Amino acid sequence: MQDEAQIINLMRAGDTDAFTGIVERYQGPIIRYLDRLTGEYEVALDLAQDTFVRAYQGILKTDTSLSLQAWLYKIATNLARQHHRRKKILTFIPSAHVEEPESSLSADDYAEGNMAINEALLKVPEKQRACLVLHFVEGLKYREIAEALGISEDAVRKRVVRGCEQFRQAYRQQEVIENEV
Amino acid sequence: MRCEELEKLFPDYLNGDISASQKQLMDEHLSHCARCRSTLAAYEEARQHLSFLKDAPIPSDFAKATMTKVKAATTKSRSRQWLRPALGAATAVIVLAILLVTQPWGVNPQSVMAKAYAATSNLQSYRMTSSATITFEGKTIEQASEWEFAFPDRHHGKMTLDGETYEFIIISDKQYTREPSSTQSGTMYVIGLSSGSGPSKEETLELLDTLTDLEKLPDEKIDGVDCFHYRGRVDIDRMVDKRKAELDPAEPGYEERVEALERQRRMKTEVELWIGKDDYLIRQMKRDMQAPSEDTGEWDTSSSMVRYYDFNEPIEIEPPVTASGELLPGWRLVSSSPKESTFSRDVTFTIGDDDPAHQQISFRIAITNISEEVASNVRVTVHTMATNEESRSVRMEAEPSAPIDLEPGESETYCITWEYDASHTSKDELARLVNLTTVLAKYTTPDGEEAVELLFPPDVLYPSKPPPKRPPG
Repeated sequence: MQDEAQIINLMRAGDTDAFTGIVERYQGPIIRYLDRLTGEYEVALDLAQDTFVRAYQGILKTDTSLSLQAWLYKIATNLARQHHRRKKILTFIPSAHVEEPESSLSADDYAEGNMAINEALLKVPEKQRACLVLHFVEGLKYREIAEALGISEDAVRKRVVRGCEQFRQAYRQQEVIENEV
Repeated sequence: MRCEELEKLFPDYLNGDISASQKQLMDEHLSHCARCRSTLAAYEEARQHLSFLKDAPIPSDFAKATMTKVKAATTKSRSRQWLRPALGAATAVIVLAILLVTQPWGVNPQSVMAKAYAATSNLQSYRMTSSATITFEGKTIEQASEWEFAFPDRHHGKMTLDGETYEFIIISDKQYTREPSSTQSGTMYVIGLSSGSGPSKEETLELLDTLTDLEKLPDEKIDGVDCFHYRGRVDIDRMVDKRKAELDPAEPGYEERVEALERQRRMKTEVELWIGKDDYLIRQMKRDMQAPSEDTGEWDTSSSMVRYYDFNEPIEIEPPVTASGELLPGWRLVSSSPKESTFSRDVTFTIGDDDPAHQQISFRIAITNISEEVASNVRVTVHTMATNEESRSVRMEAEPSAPIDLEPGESETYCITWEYDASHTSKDELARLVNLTTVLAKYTTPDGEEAVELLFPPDVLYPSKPPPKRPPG
């Protein structure tokens, strides 16, 4: 596989198809990340596409100092945040009756053991959840997460620590309820 | 070594990537700091569980479809990306329309509103059409829809957006949708439309409570029917204050919710109503909504006009399934609403203040059956980690431990006290442990099903609703 710098040079020279290499390399992590952030698989696919579209346009226009990986996560995070805001707009319509869709996780999509983990993760507030997913699922270091999210390493550490506690609490509840039923 | 420095080293510590001297410092700190032990345990637990999450499926044609989109985006301005949110907003317009037409206007002093309430609450069925113009983040979308309703809980609708039609059937808590097969993106997503479960009395009353400045306009004819014409607006500050007052600062997520509520103060909604002079049925509604966009600072707006007709005509709405229960082609079951609470609850706990080696931890759990059905064999159990047992949590029955039946409206108070040797645990850590206690109510439904409801801690995802006010007598 060509390295990223080579691909970017090809793209700037007008070879759109070269970008396929980038999509193929990062589609897994970006879809996973967005899925965990939004809890809605269909939405995650949609936002992942938008992430790549924006990254493509951005590569041609700007010369970012971020690594490609950090940059993709940054775009994805912003898109997820926007999505979240839109849902907020819906939810504060006076009826207060547009509920957020249920999570799209299903036994068909994931091995059954993941369900409780997924459900618990979705109960962790979005900011902390983003850090947990990038750190534990995608294996990014605090420094890399800080770069991608545009926050300090210290803030990342705090969010991870706080997020872990929230996850533990949510997961135990989930587990207890499942055992009881 | 300070707690924060230690936290920075968690990943390396667990991976064994630190020097022997660092490890020694960490172990020393951990041996006397319960907070860090607990934090590390939580970190390890999250790491263990979340590392399983590596298998979100990637559609085989994802890269190809994405490249098609990338190429399309480079040649023309993209209009499609606005469809999803716009569709959501359109859906919301419909939901509001449904809600408004089923409103009990009785809280309004004006007699027209009171009569309109009585008339609409007696409706068995009706149809409506709506058209809306929505401007969302600078893009304008036209949307049209038609809905039919058969009370109490059947809804059928078609929504046309950008030439594509989406269909919904909502029966009780089940929602089915059919999306256009021609949709180019293949990933169009309809944001949950949950009117099927019907607006609860509290939410309905809340909205009514917030309508203000009602003003009478000249009468008009709609569909040949003489109508009263009113205009009013939603008192958003009152709504926000009321909702804020209902939030519990002790609940997780409190700050986020307050923040979300505060943002709503900038939202403006005006409503116009045309109400039949003879039958007091709402014939038409116009609604203008403005909401600030956080991204652009501009206003997102929606303006909709809804017409209502075919009152009390026979309307049949059936689920899109075959005789054997299979979904018809093109349809999918989108969601079932989360279950309503069976019990209202008031859970308090106390931690003894005297001898750390014999800390008395007490829970008092008062529950009331707020459902319409009897809950049989009710037991309340407490699961806690605030224990000196070796296992990570223990389960105890609260008193009275004998199963009891709770009829609708009946209450019971449960108590449990246990002892904890907290001589090696700080007060904060103990409070945290006790806060992690889970309290469950187990019961049998009239159908003979075993059910369980979380009483404590308050659920973050589906906060329990306040108990409905029972009709007098």
